[in-house]
Amino acid sequence: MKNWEKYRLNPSLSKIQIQRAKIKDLIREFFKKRGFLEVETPILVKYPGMEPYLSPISLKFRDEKNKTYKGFLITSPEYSLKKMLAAGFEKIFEITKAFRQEESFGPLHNSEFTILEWYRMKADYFDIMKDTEELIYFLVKKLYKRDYFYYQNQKIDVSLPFQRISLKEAFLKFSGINLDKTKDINYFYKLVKEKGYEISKKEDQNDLFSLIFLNEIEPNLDKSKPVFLYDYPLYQGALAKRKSKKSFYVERFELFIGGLEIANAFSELLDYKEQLKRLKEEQKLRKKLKKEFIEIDKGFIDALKLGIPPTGGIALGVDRLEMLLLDIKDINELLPFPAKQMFHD
Amino acid sequence: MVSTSEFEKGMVIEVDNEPYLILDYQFVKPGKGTAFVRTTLKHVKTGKVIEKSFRSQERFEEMDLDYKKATYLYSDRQNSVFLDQNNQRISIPRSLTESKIPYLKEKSEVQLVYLEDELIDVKIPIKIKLKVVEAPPAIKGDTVTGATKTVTLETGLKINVPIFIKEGEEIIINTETGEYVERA
Repeated sequence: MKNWEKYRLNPSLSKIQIQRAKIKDLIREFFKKRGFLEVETPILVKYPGMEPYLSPISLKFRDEKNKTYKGFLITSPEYSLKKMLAAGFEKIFEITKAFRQEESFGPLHNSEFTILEWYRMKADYFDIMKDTEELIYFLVKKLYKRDYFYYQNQKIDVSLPFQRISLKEAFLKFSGINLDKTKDINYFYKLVKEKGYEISKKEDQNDLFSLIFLNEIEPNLDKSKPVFLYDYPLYQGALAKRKSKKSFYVERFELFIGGLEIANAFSELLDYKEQLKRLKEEQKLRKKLKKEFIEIDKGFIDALKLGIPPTGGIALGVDRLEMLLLDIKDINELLPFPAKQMFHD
Repeated sequence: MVSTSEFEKGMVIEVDNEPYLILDYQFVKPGKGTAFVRTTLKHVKTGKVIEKSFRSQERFEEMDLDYKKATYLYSDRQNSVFLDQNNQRISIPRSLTESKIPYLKEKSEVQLVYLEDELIDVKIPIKIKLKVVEAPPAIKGDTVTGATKTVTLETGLKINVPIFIKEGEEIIINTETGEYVERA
């Protein structure tokens, strides 16, 4: 049975959609109160994000003279929002749709999803961390009139402040690995191999990092309170600023609630030369991975060239946040029209 | 060899030279680097449940399973008892059948799953037919809103169904989701 048919049979299920609308209203209320401007940027673009491991959906369309154009659906509104920053908007947010393919129809993924991004000029990732915990606290308080909620029988306490653990601390504590030393890939490889993982020399630092992170770090995070993991090694943050000029760490954090990854934030990389260099590297890696060629968005580089003051920014998965707040385990039960029910079943 | 994209619940794979039954799996995509698949695995012999994440390109030895048809008889506090095709009674600890008992009635057909002659799992059909033994009468007017009501099935299972289902009717249940599918 499709979800919309279930609502007809069981009106109590329709409440999910009413609650989702309320959550989006509250998000808007939160940002507007704090002086953020809601902006609208395109979903259909000429230049999508270039992250080598993400696959944007490409499409063709025609104008009235039958001329064909190639476009992409965004994987995130980031490039457009950074152009808005360059245009002079200092505090902006957007709730929009984003698309990614080559992902499963599993309980945490839908090829079309809702993303919330916000950017704050003259701020860094720690300021964004504060916005984030205040937003979550505000939502829980408004929905439940208390400072905790339950997700799959786990009580989650959202009183402020949330837990903050650097990746370096977390790796040392849960896996015994000193992240500083993972700069040397051969050494990192040896460490992981000694732990008994079957790996080949083809593995890059990101694969080794994820292997340890998913098996030894993430399962051990405290689920009774939201956790910010911050300061990622350089290889984990193409769009983030380094902590200092030569630091091995970048100013990036992720938020985990009840074991779910909810948001990813940076002190934005605004140095156009460094950004161009990293995008060219990503283009090369895409080629190596046999991914579709994507041109570099020169407008994005030009926007950075104009100069943007230090800015913190974040992308938050709205569907996942709704799943948490409404205690729903499977995204296919959250959405009225999940892709799985349209394309898969 | 099977790749992670061929994973299915109920498949038995070899991990670190030990046989594990796949209870659940989920694809995870870290922002950077290749995709992973997070699995919940049950050690076939010890019953220990573990979580493990593998890179999606990893390949595994799939263990051959034997399936034998049997029919359900009854469960007591410790065991569920089945009758195999040679009319042999087979007793299985409830730990393997607990989640399935609510869908089983006497003579329900199941498949006993063996790994190297050892019974490791009981498989029941995804869709099963059960009779409604107790249903509150529909209240006039409710049919317009299409509300649901809770009925009791012959196995004792309580389930939500559309309001038009009556006592004595047979309905189809999805045993994976535990939901009503349609009138039989």
